[in-house]
Amino acid sequence: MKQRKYPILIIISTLFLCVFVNCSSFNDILDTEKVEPLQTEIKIQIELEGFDSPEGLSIVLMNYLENIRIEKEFSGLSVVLDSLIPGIYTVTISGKAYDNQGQLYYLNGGLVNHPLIKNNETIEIAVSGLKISPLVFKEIYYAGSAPNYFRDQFYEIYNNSDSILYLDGIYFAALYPAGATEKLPVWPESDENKYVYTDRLWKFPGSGNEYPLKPGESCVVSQFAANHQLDIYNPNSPVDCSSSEFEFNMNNKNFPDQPAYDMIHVFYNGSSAMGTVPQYLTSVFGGAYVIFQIPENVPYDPVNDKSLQTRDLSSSSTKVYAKIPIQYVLDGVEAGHNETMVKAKRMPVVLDAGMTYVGASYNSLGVARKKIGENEDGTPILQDTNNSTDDFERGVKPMLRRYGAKMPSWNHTLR
Amino acid sequence: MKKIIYILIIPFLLLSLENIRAQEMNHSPAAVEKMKLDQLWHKTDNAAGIFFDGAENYTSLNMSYNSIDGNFHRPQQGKKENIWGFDAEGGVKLDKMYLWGEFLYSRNAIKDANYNASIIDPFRGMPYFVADTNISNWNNQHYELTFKACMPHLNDYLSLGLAGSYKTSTGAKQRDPRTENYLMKLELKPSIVYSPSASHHIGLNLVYYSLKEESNMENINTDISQTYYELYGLGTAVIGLGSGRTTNYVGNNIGGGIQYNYTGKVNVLFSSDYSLKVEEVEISFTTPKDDSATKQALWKNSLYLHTSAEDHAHYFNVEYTRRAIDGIQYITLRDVSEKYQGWISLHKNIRSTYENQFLQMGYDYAKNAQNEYKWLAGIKTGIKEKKDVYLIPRSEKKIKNAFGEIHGKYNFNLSDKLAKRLLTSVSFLYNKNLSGHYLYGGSHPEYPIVTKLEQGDFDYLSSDFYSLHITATYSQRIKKENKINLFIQADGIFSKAQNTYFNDRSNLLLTLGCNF
Repeated sequence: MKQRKYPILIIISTLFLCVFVNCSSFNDILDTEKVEPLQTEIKIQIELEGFDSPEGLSIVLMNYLENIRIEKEFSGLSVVLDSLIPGIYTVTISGKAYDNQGQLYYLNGGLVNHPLIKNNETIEIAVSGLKISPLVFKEIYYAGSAPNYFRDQFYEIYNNSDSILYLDGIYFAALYPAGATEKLPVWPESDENKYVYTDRLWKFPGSGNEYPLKPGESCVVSQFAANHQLDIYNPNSPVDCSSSEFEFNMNNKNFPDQPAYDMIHVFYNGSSAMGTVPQYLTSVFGGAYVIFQIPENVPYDPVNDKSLQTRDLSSSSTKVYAKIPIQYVLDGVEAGHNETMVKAKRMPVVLDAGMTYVGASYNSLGVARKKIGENEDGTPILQDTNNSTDDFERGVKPMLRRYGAKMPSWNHTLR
Repeated sequence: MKKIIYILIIPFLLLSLENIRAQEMNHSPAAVEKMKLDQLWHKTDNAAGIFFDGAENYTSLNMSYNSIDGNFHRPQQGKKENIWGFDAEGGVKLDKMYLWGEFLYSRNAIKDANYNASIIDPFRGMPYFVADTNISNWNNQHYELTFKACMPHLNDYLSLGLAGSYKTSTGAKQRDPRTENYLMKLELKPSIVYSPSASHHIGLNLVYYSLKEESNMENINTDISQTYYELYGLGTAVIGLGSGRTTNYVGNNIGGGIQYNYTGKVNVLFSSDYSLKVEEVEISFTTPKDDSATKQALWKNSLYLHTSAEDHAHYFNVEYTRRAIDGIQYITLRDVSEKYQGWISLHKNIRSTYENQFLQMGYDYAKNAQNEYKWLAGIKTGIKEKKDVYLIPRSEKKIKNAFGEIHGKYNFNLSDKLAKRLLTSVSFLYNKNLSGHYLYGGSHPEYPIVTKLEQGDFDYLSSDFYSLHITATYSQRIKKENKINLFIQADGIFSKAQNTYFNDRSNLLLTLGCNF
């Protein structure tokens, strides 16, 4: 009898030992070390011809999750950063510079969501450039208004240059995924990060010079170009969009075509048809918006050219998305729920190194590009450093043609 | 779940019936309390030593209602709390075995709790959860079944024992962003006692428990997204907007204890326990993401001295507990390559540490009256220290308090006929803050998590306060020949803060029960 009881103890003790020894995650956690600051060297390679030195370039490291910002100027081709907390960083190298021929470029390069976890690591970052776009997003109102009205979304595009620009044929898209998420899609590696992707594509009407924007003029593109403050819509809405130049008309009988010009629908799920969705709603948490212009001599037909389509490879869905060549993007602005959603960026740093936000949905607030000066006629000069975290005022009451931006002469209200 | 509970309760009730048949002694509330004071091994995790306590057959059943109110509370506690409880406890000798068991059930209705949107108990040593600023009610239920079994002695030298417990809790926050939580804890403690002589006993026990809590957050009003904060310790938080997250907590604890007991003129028991717990925090079930983890080292030491004569008894105890938790944060990245692997954990570090130390000593003198005490008086004093640090960027929350308590109990013998007793007790505790500071050096010092939650928690924990605790328990047997001892108890605690941030907190507990 007594001998039979010893095995019970042995079995229980052995069970305990097995649990302890076999639990690898247990041991793994026990071995975790205390955090120590890191030192990292960043080297740059300027890929654009005609630029000899990194003069005027600065580097910004943002750890959005922990709200850490580190900024340094380049004096040579590398910079050493110390006292970094291990984490996921977005590294941006940027600056305005003239090339040998006197053309003004916006040089930038960077890494989105790059882990800095090793001490004494050296990272090489290629810096390329885009000509500074004279056409920029001036104000975006995407959040909607209480209680849950979203038809008052609008996007204002502004001529920030000193010459006349034409909207004709310029494309507009909100990138996929619609809302900022860490669950990003997987795109083909063969695309080599040369594209961004959208589920729906629009373009401005016109054959070349029908819709000019003079310096200091802006055009408003509304989801639904009506006075939203009317009782039949939502008196809580902060905006009257009836003077918009354009709208995204989805042929919804309940929200009929308004006097504003219709944007031309180009692409949805591999077709030029709009589909059955009754409105063009971008995320009320904030989308990633681009305008881009394809040169006349470059073919671009994502409906018929299958090489300009792709699936999300992380999904079994057969839905197809249109590819947008990054090199032809005029301006890009990424918006998200709040400051920490920059960890979920959809847009490459070369288009927008940051993210803007209003902190909630249906709060009647928008984002507006900062004014840094005035033209002689009183129209604004707007800030464009390719970083919407810095370039935009957040949480502003939406307003069409803020800062005295002018209405183009072809606006329907002036006819 | 209910079936499991019934299966576990039924044997316990059968044991209780066994006690109704077996009882000879008066089990008034004072007698049961004195019996527990005398049981030193029962205070340890070693079930094999219970026989050396001179264990008795007894059963205690009670139902209680507890009402708590007042603003002197931690920010995550409810302003009000109503708790219905049921407790069944008993021990029985079966041949050469001794079995002890307890079943606890409580239903907590917490009113106006703040800064907690995802965990049933925000004070259980887990700093990683979700908080919001929508003051909300919580409805929680707890079931806990505990047993200790002292096996028949193997020989003159060795005894074996096994203790265990199974606990389940459910919790539901009642306002968006709301959550529904399920917690389970299963614990086993095998033990052995080696007795080289009749006076000397050396004990050893192991402890293992497994813990799991699942938190599923959602918004009922899906039109309105809610702001919430993912907490990373001492005010460090990541703001979120939406309906929250699904969080899965999985913990394993392993440890052991040693005991030494001398029985003679003085009954001395020294117990030292050490355990290590690892608890991992994973977000989402569909695409799991390692978020954080804790590593907890718990060291508990106790020394009990007890002398007992026919008409009096002395009780002296010293306890020292140190709990050190390392807060570990993961650095993860979602794989967006064509080989898509979900979330990849790249790195982890200890980012914060949480240390609590507690030293207490107490002395009680009891004037005996058969198996009860006639009166009892005692003092207790101790020091509590908390040192929490977020390493980089550095934040600190450090608090040191000293407390002293004096208490007395008198057991009025109203009648011997039906063993009518009125047990009264009064205690007065004063807590004095010796030092403390909360310094936040991280980002977003304007977040309410810093300005309201952490600062408010510091203000509470560093408060000077006094507490008055009064209890009155009336008990009597149903009939002279019936050994069942019914009792009704009213218990009130009034705590008054000595600062301008808080007023007071009152706690009224009404209990109806019986011992046999």
